[in-house]
Amino acid sequence: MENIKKKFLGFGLGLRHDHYEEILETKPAVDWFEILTENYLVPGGKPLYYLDQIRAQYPLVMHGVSLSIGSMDPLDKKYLSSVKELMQRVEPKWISDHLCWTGVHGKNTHDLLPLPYTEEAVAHIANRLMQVQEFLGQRILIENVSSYVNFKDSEMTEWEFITEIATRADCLILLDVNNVYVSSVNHEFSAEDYIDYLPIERVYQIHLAGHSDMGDYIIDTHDHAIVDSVWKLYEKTIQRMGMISTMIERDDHIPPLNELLKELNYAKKIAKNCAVLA
Amino acid sequence: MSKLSLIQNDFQQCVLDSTHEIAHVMQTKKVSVEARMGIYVNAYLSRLAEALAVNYPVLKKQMGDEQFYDLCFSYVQQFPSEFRSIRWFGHQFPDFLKKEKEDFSIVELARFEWILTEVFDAADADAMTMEDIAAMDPNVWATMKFIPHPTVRRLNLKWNVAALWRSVSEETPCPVIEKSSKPIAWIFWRKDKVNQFSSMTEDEAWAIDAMMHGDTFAEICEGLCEWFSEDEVAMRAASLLKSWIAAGLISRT
Repeated sequence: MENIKKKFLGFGLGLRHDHYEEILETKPAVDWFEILTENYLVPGGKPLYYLDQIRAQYPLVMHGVSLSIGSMDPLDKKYLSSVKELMQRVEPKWISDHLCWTGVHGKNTHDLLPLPYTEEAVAHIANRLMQVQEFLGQRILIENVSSYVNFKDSEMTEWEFITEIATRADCLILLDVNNVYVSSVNHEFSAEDYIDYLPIERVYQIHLAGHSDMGDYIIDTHDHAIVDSVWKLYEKTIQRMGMISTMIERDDHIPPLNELLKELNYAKKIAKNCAVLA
Repeated sequence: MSKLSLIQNDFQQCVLDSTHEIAHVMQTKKVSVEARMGIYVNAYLSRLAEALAVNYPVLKKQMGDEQFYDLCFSYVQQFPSEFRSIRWFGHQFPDFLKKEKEDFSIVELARFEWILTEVFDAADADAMTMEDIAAMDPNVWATMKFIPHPTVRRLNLKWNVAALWRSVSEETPCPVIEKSSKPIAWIFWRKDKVNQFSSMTEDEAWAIDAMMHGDTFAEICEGLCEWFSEDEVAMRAASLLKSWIAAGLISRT
């Protein structure tokens, strides 16, 4: 299995079709782009055309939403084969998906559903991750998701859960700082404790995003600018972990590219200040 | 059954049917279990309904948001997704509408829009050129089978939904919805990354269908005799072939 080296890719953005033309015309100062794997699991046409064009000019990483690594359904080999095929086309720096499940009994809710933090789930997921990594021929990154429920059966914290799985499966971590913040509010835990516990050597990438504050709880909507509390948590993360490849995710109410570039520059400024202080 | 299976069965049942009472989620003072599960239920319904809105934008405009989303929510309940990619979730929506709606023009509009999504990301292939034709050995013409471009799709429509689709898309005044005396043949394909569609005469539609079915050029010529005399048929077949090549309807291989 290929051992992907921890490399600082710099500061990236999620590649969205609204920006395809502008990216090719203006070649913005973005170090890399993250693609949503499923958007390119199509036979042909514009999505793959633009993917190839942008790939020729920028490093890419692949980010999936359908692996359903925590599901009790069998792994979907057909899906994994199509991911592998895309991987061979794109040659991404790395591949990631979420620490969640999306459905059982052949159904797909197309949502990142929460898991109980149990030994049974750790063993189940670590085993499946090893199978996936073996099939793809490389280690993958798993991302912490935002959650809105806690299960009565949970036996550990979320940060213990993700760390234990990553250790047993020898996989890597995509740390979504916004998701840590969202879940910390929804479940009243310390976001700092979460960040402090994670194994630094396994955290290869960071996601930053906006959310919707509903008063008593927060929903991870990816449709707003990043808020101060998340910037502060990002600062704390970089202070502890050093420079980590960072990108901004925006999935709805996609603003002009320029607006995202300003947000990305702000992330750069925070990270560089932290690096100077470190 | 394992604990994890029980939890996932319970949770999914609640997401697919919000009346199901979930057993495994912790109650908290701040936010009720109902409110917490409501976030997942709403996200599920709205994400899938939005996927349909992306695939059927003109249908949505034509029906209005309220009626469109009511139908979307019924569809989500009746046809839960079994796809890894949400892109394919809406494929049964036209058939669902056929059962739900008496207005068949709506069903045809849905079929029209779904075909456009298929054409949009169908496989790429080089199109045959006139130079390719000129380089062909004349001896193989009779047994030659032309391969339709992988983006080519066919539909016969009774209603003027193509005109409706164009006017709604281009925000020009909508035509009166009319039913023709007999179905009109339409062909859809992609050229230079842009979706195309065009109506066809009866003989051209027959010839295209024959090509898609794998008939040889000689068989197509023979079939065209139903519309043309022996003297005219070779000319008509050559003319059709030329126009198909110009449009990019035939694959090079």
